[in-house]
Amino acid sequence: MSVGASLLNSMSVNPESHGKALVIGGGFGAYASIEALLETGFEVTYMNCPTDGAFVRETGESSNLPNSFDEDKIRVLEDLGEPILSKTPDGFKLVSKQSKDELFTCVVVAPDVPLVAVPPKMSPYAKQLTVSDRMDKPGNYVFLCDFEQPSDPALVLAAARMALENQLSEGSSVLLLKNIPLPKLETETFFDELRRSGVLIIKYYDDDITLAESATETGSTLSIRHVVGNDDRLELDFDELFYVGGPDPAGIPKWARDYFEKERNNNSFLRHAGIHQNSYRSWNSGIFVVGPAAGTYDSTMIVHQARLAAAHAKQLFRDSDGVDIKINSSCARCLNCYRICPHGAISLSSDGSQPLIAPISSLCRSCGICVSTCPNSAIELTIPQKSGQSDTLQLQSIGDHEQAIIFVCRESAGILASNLNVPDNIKFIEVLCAGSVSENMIWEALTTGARGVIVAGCHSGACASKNGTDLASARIKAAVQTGIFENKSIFVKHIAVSANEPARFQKLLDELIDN
Amino acid sequence: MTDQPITIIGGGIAGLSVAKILNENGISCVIVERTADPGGHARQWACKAGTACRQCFSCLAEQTLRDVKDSPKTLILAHQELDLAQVNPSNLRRPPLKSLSSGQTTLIDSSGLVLALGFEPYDPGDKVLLQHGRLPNVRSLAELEADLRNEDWGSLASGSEIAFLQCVGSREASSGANYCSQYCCGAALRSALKLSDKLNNAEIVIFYIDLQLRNGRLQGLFDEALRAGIKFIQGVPGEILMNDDGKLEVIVEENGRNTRRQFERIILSTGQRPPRELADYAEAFLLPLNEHGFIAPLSDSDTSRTAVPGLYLAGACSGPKDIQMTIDHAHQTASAILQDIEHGVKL
Repeated sequence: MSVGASLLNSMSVNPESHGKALVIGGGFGAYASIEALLETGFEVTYMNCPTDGAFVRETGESSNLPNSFDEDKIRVLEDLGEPILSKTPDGFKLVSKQSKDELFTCVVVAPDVPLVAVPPKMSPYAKQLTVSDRMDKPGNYVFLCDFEQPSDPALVLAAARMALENQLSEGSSVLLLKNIPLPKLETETFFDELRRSGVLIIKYYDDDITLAESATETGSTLSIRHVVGNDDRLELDFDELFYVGGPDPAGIPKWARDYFEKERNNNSFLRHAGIHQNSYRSWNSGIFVVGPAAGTYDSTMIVHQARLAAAHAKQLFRDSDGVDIKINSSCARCLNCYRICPHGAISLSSDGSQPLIAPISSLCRSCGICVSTCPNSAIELTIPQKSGQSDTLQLQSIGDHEQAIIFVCRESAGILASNLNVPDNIKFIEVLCAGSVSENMIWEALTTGARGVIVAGCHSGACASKNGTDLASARIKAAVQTGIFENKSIFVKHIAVSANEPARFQKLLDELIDN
Repeated sequence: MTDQPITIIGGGIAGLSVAKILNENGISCVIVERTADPGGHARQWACKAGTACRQCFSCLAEQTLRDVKDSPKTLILAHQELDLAQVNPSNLRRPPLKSLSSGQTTLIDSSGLVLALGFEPYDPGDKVLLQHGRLPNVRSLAELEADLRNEDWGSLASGSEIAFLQCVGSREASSGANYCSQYCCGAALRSALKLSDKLNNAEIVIFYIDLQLRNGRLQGLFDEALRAGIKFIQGVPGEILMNDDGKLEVIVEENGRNTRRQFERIILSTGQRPPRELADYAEAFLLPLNEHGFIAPLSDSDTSRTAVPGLYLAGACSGPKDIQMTIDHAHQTASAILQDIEHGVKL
């Protein structure tokens, strides 16, 4: 259940938020999301952040991709003031000028631009190309891409289209770039067409490009050192120099940018959920990221993302597949579980005089991490599925003194365990996540007489529960540092292994067993 | 809902991902797989993680296969394929399956049919000058993956010089593949990083035409590769020679002059081609092929459905894809099937 997710399980619960989606964004990504959500049967509310999204332009004119939406079918929120978006057990709550405490099943973030602008670093005589630019009259144009940092591929394609148009109407175009972007099957033939039509495509290798001193606003000469190591410079005369950077995120209002800021990775893209949840899901369950904010995707990929976001959204707040979390009275409200739950399945309800822990069973992926961090054993997690975690029974069944116990995560090492060649006195115990192996479980394993405990989890970053494997590693490191395992006959260790590393896992175990 | 299963032709990562999502939603599937064991190309690949996951997605092949095998809703028919000679395009409700061991044909009731036929790796043996198949240290990307998976380093040691040649069999109109294969830049970057982790001071050079850093993930890997000291040289050598020391040698244009460079091992980043029999499949189902030989989907905005209701595409048979894109595409196909079932659309 933790890898991927079922798409269209029956929905019930929470009639208030049921089937309502909030789309924040603008341009093609937002239109594709709105269309997909409507197709899937959602009621859509749209918060417009006007952006000059590159994709409508990139796709050209023959495309049948959505480039607008039917205003009758959706509700558009405009004057928002400073809206506040928060997550509650019933869904996402939006408080703004136009809506009071409105609830949504999911939020789709589709600003259609990367979250950070590629700043123009060229001379002021260069004009920054935007997707809304159209060719006025044919002329002698130079398009400079990838200068100092890579340009947005969609915008490079927009520039290439403009160059072709100019060339075909008797102008002359030069395209300067470092890498030709080929996001689609047809792009290579499109660039062939460009070459055939006479557009000069020049690849340059370093950023040694200068505008001649005679530069004026109306025309100028650009000088490039275009052959590596050759001191000959290529001089290009032009009427206009277009600098191709990236689409401008200026249209995203400040509150929204601040909101997205928390979810940004170091490449300025919105963080997504890692390999287990594909490219459109944020770690914050219920928030989906569609389009260029999640990476540089081509238009077909953005339609994929939008469709999948809609399908996964429909699955949220569904019946919980039999997974049940209960908090019993020994809860001390330490909020450990609330902070650590990687799936956003624990929230706080503020109904009473003091905050109460309110689990959302339908979002639970039963990784067991909350149980392992609760100091008071106040969380009761019921999983109807086959492979049980923690299994004290299994532990008690071991009594021999020469054994090592290996806790294996069912997503990685657990898959390999049955095919490994290990001595009989090594016992594998499958757990739902390495992060669910608490200090108590390790102690319990050691009290059965085992001389070694190994926790084998996924690689950092590949955990289906965000950072479960990191948690396991940190726990064991901390335990070893306290010195309690100093007795030389006992070892406790965390190893990271993936489901397709049989050779490496075997090697690691052999080494450990030999020692 | 329907009692009859969805039949999926092809048990690679695309077919498995479709089955997994359908199973989770209570729909039963039959996977028709030609080989003994499903998993396809992706399952032959190696994990590329260093200290952290590099998001190559290859471990998902094992996980998805496990999930599908565990599910009582899916039947995997190994050593079987669609009997194309007996497919009746006007009645696809009972597609004929041929057993590759006994040669017998059986009909199987289906409410939907998914073509997840995958791709065929380009055979670099066609390029005689690259010496693949003649010089043992010239390896294809797939062979490198197998070496990495088995932790088999062969003659490689710390300080080894290794080169990757990109776009072998991609982006060339002359051999009928005038397109980018979409996966090799990422695969080469990840493999190069893995090699650089495993071999101290290895000198790794990636020869490329244009780097396709398609999404946020690859941009990060590229930055990591630069930090790890991996070199990138624009321009791909077209010939590999062996010198008297038994080392591989290529001619590189550097500083406007041609120089010779020696490598211990050279990896050819071979592209994706449509499977040889894809045209026969398209013909049997009266589906159009695009100019590059992949099956053309219904439209740009609906790449999962075809013109035939109840007949779907998943994965690389509709165009070259990396593992992540394949899984995304397969999930989209599964959601299209679920929507169609809700609306009563079937074969």
